[in-house]
Amino acid sequence: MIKFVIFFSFLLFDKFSFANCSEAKDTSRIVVAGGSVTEILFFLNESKNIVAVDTTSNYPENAKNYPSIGYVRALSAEGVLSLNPTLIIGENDMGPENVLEQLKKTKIELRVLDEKNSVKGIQDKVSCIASILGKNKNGNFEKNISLEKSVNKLKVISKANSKKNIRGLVILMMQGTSPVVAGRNTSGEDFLKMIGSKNIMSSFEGWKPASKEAILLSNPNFVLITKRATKNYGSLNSFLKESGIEMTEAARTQNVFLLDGMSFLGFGPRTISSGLEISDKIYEKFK
Amino acid sequence: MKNLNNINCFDFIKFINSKQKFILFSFLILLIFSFILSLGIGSFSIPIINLMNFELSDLEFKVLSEIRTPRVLLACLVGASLGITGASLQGLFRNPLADPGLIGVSAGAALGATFVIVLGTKFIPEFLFGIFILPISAISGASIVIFFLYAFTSGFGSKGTTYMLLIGIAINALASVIIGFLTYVSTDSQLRGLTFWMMGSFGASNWLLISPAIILILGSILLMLPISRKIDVLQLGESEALRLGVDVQKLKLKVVLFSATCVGASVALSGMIGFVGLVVPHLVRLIGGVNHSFLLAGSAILGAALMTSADLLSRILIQPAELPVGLLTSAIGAPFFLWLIVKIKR
Repeated sequence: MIKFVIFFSFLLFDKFSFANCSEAKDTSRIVVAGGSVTEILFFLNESKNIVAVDTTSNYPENAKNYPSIGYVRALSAEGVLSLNPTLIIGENDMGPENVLEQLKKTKIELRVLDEKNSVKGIQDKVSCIASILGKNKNGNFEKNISLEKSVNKLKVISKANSKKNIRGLVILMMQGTSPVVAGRNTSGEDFLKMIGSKNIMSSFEGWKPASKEAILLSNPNFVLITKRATKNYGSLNSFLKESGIEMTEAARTQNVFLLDGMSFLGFGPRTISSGLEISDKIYEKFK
Repeated sequence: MKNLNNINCFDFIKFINSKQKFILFSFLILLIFSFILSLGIGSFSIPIINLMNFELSDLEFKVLSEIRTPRVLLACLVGASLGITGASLQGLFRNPLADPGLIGVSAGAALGATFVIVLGTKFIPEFLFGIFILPISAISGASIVIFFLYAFTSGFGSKGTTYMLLIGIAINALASVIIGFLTYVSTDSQLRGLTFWMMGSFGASNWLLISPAIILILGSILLMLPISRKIDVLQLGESEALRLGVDVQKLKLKVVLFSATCVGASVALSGMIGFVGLVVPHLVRLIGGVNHSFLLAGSAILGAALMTSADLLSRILIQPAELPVGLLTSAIGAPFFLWLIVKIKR
């Protein structure tokens, strides 16, 4: 019986150890797969042991100086192993599956983090990584306190905003097509929810081009645009003109905000501060 | 046949018989119908009564004049340009599988556009940014391909059409490799933009962008129509045509140059839209006949009508989102084409 219980608990343990946040045995050589993970390591001032990152890790600026293991969804086991890591931390979308299987068979510790695009999700990710690195003593680590402060502030404003029925739109880019906007179940919509507003383009799923007419018709109260989207247009005004956003109420009332794409769609610690910034602004504007 | 080289601009009409004239007229009615329908329908509803009485609100007027009209016009132009290009290239190569993509020009344009979408902010000086950057880069890509084509075939054709076809295929393959590489290094959001662009869209159109296209495309079409009779003669074979007094070399130069201009401008402004260039000419042939005077004009008009309707559907089918128009041209055209072939061969 005891043997059976031990065997069974082993099975369970094996299942959960994959995503667990317990302290890693050896954190001397860390390979990161996922932009928000890299961001959090830097946020925690724990970047010194990073040996390589994936191509989505482009914040902070010096994260780009590390050797690259390729794109987070298309890793190669051999490429990762060649860096001789002791610990691999990855995001939920890390893959492909067979490479993960191969990596699991080696003795290297592999931690794939849960992904939830929300304030809670970001906090969990930060404290999970802190735990893995052995820095999390019951939630008491220096950075967590500052994060907690911003989070509490954001929660208050977002709650106040959600009572006002503010409707927002997120534009990812526009390159020779209609503007590509955030539909249902996108990080863009999750960000809008986080700051207490509604997504006007919730009738379709994913990032899709939406016709200029439809955008005008839905008439958002405010519009968030990634910086990269406007870059090829030279100026924000030129982008607004070409995308037809110029004619919306949001543009007339100057409620168009330009944001660095990863800073609000990446759901790392920066997303909290972007969230604070934007929710503050819309709180002021929509009384 | 003697005066084949100094055919007058509109003399090609003489070679269209009355039945074909009737068919062309029907195509035209179809085009006008789809044009008006496209202007009248959209996710932003503009009541017809307001339109007739010129009692549009400020916003309604702006939507109609600045968003919808240039878009419908561009769809029209691109449809016409792909249709007529397909028809004349099929004639030139005497190959029913020729389409505007075959000579590599659209691949070159796609390469130029991909370059801007993926690397734009890195390698292009800031003062060049603006709405023209994507189309200009696409046009440059197309022009480079035309230049290579010209250089390799020593002026389009001294070595025969098969040679030119093979050069086109090689250029296509080369461009695809570079596009593939750029796709590989692109980020998530660039990849998304690239994918949507590749499937074709008229969403980015506005007056400033389409005015150069109007000149380029309409000009090429008007210059292509008069040489249609010579393409007829070419069907007898290059040496026969030569003996009948057609300057084959010059004809090739004209057809390739005008086609390349049309395709370059179209791809630059609307992305890759398949099917129209390949199948519309076959449709027109099945309906009305094979003489190129009729075929070229018919393909232009029917291409425009098909494209306008496809764009209308792309705007309204899943609004507020938009279906890529390239999917719709095939979705509408392919079943109809299949039905037509089966019906005629029976």
